Amino acid sequence: MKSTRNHNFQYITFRLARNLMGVDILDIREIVHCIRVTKVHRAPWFVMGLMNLRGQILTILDIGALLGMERPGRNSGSHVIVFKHTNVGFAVDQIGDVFDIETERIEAIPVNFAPRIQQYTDTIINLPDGVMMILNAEKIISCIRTETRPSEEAL
Amino acid sequence: MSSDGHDSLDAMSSEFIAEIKDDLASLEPTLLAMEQKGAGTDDDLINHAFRSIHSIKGGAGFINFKELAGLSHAMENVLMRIREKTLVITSDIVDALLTGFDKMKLMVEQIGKGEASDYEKEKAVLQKILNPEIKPPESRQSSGPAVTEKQVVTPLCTSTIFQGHEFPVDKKRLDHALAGQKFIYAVYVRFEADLKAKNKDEDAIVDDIKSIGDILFSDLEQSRREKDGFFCVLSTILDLPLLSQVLEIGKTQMTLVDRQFTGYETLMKGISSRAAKDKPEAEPKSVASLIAEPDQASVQGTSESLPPSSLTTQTIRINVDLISRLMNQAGELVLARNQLRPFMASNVKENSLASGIMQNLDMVTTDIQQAIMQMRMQPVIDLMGKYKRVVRDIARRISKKVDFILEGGDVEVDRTVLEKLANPVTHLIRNCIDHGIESPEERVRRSKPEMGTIRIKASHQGGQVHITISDDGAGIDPQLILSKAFEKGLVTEDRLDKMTEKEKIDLIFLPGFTTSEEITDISGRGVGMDVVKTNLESLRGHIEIDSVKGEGTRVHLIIPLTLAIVPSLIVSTGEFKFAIPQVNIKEVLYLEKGTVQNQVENIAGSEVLRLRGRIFPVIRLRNLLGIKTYIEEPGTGAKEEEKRKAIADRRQNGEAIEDFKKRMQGKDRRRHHWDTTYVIILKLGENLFGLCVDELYDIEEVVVEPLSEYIRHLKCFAGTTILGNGDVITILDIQGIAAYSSLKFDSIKTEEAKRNQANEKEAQSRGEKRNLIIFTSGKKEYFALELKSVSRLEPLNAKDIHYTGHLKHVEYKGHAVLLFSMDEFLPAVECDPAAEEFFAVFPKQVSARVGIITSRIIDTIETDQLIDRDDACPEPVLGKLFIDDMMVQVLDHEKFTELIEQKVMMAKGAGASRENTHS
Repeated sequence: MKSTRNHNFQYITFRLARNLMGVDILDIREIVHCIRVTKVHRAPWFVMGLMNLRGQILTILDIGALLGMERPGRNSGSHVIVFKHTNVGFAVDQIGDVFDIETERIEAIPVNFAPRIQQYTDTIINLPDGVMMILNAEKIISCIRTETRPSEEAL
Repeated sequence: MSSDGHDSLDAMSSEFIAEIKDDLASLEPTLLAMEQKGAGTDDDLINHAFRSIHSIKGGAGFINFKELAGLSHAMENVLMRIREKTLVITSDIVDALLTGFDKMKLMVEQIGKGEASDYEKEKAVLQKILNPEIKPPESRQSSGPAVTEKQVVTPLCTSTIFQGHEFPVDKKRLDHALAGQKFIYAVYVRFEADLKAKNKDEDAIVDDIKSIGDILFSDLEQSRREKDGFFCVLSTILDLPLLSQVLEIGKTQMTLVDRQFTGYETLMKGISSRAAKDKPEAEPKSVASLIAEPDQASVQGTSESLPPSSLTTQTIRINVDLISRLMNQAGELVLARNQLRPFMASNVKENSLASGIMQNLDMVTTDIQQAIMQMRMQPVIDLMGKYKRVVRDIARRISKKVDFILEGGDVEVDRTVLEKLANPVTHLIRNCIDHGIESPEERVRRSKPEMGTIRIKASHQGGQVHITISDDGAGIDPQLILSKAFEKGLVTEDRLDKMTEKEKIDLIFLPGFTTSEEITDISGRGVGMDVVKTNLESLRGHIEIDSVKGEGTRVHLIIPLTLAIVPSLIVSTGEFKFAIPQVNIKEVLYLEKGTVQNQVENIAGSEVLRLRGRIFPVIRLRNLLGIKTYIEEPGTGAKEEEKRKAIADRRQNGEAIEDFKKRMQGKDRRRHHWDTTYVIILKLGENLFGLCVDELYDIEEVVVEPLSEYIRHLKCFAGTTILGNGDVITILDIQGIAAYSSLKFDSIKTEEAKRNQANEKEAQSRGEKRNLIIFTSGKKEYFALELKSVSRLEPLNAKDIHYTGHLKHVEYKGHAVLLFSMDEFLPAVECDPAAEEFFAVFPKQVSARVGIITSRIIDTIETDQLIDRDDACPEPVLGKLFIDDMMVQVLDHEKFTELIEQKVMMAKGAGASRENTHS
């Protein structure tokens, strides 16, 4: 778990439906502009579609849906954050800075947060101008195994 | 195995190991064939086994693999006894040999892993076979491969230089040279003429020889200073003239020692050299003996026991990984080419060179891609050949008698496909033996031959490979399957009565299904057919089972040739594009505005397409994938969601056209996707169904990328790919689509039977297609003959007709042709005799030269109308047809010909009687 690491963390921040969020920079392969995302019909609800990244086909996850957030423009975003060692990424609405954060500022997720957010985020960071939720990359990547797939029953 | 010498596998060793593997591969079928033929095994077969074993022994000795050499030696001993006819082949002996063979295979696989392999057990088994009788000579036993065996070679005497000379050469090196299909020459080097005169010394010539081959023997040391030259036996790949040039020695001073290698022809055949390479051991002491029976060697070489793969000589071994890498790169190249294409196309106007460059690139890319594809192709015998052994072993274990026949072993499939086939095919064959073929007693009781047969047949059909695995065993009892499935709770009670035979048989594809009461080591764990099916589906293949209880089972596999690059048709529905693999496409139909509704019919919520008298189920891609469609308002551009699910919801037939016309006339110019549609007729095995899409694009060679794990469970897609413009699209899985839309096709056979029935019905109701020629006799009587029964038509002038009595003749190409008019055959009006012009119809298949006078030829038509036969028709008339207000009497060709023949006979008779009266 991240709290066991003893160095300062670096997070890439991004906005998703006006929420400020972050993900550990060590979990990230690259950030690219979100170009055309091909919708995959009958795909699970948390799959936004496929994207061509220099000849590789990325599966783009819909983080908003996974976290249970309503956001407009469901099938695109401004950027795609690609996870390390995978061909999986997720679209975000806006990319922010890379933050250096001291261990002390990391806090647990408040208990009143929605179960979906509890499931896919690790911690929350108390910043001067707001709070930032930190995503758990591992859990997001393995969502295919943890999420029920109602659409699969139909297939 | 001994650790020394194997720790570092140098290139040479791996070459030998590859060769040993080849020999092993050819040994197994030979051993099996020997068992089959038993005591009657011919020498060719034994010799072939012997040669394989011997090569292995030689190779093992060369790389200092003592255990393998020892084991092969033990096996060789047994084979030698068989060859000497002091041992009769039995299944037990073959068993022992096969155990030895298995051990050898294991040893070879473990080469380089440093594990000591103990072959005492196998050796003991082999010894036991030999022991009950006289022990083999000790000397042979002890002469390990480490001891250098000498062998004497005799040159083919073409000149006196070599007369009477024999050269002892290192046997293993000779074998190796022969295995490498090299020529073996004896060369006489003269110190004066060949060396001094050319400013060379002995070392130089030795170096020269070594640079082109290997010196097997040389008496340089002995002959130095004593004679005027020395002899040398060398192996090289060069032919005689070339060798002479390289060494600068006259051709008369060199000769082959082995006639097997005298010509390129035999070399190229390779097979004969393969036979010959081991021949020295078959008749061990002198190569010279080979000369006596060169033909035999080549006959052995081409004997059927050799796998055809060994026929190729111009091959090199390439690492599979390298080919895979090359394949991936070729994929990238295709992709890059596709991406470049639109860019280049836009440049064509400014730069005329662009199109040429593009064409060139196209061609080269395609060539490279095809060549690499071919590289990856492997004949199915590489896989299927192994089953002979599997069948034998399993059958023996459960005491059944099974014969295994492989047809079409040379059909080639992509390597990856073949690899993935191994598992399902093994399973199917096990099923055949375990469940299919009955015990010999049972078979005899059912008056079947005692020996059961499993037949694998592979063939290419339309870019796909069809593999049929059939047995003549008990077949599948649908009722048994059903009750088993019910017991296991795989079927609900209410479905029991409703299932067709085919559906019942298909239950064996359900996970967890098994009919075996007990779990044996062969089958019965219930992880069978569903795995087979899943495996095949992962190959984008298709499986079908036909079975007749008591007669046998036929499993039909249809698999693609290759998985990597697939020519596909790009289609779209709404704004989404999809690729459909071309091999799945039977035809593409374009249904025009207004005709869609006529040809696609909605029957009780399901749409069908009527095409050429057949009915195809039709699936709309739009509905299948849940693509929302919008109707654009031309004025405002606003989009309105389409809510109807099928055309026929509102607009059936005439109404639809009316509606359409109204819209065309009026202001309503909304683009509507049901105005036109493309229907792609897809084939799934032998079954066809239609898929409606909105637009068609090009056919592109798409590089298939597997689905990511998030969407892998989607049955409708087979993979994803990137188009030339960089778009990612999905590739449709035809089988998945059919399954998802619950299209349940009957098995091929029943489907075919149905189709034939339908065809028959159609033929009955519509009559067959006929080409008729219609002519008149008299004013309004129309007759028709089938065009195929008419040889020619000729216009006639009235004055051309010559009368003899009441017989009419006309001259045609110097011959008199007898003419009849229709009224002579059946009640009809005579042709108007006053008319000036006639036409003659010359029927075929008549013995004499005969023509029919007609007043006029009306037309030739093609019709499939049913010919109406009534009893009022005169004899030669088949029936009546109404064509354009004419009543046409169609003549029955056969009966009409009969009538003509009768007439001809009568005419002859009349002529004869007339002659009689004259005289």
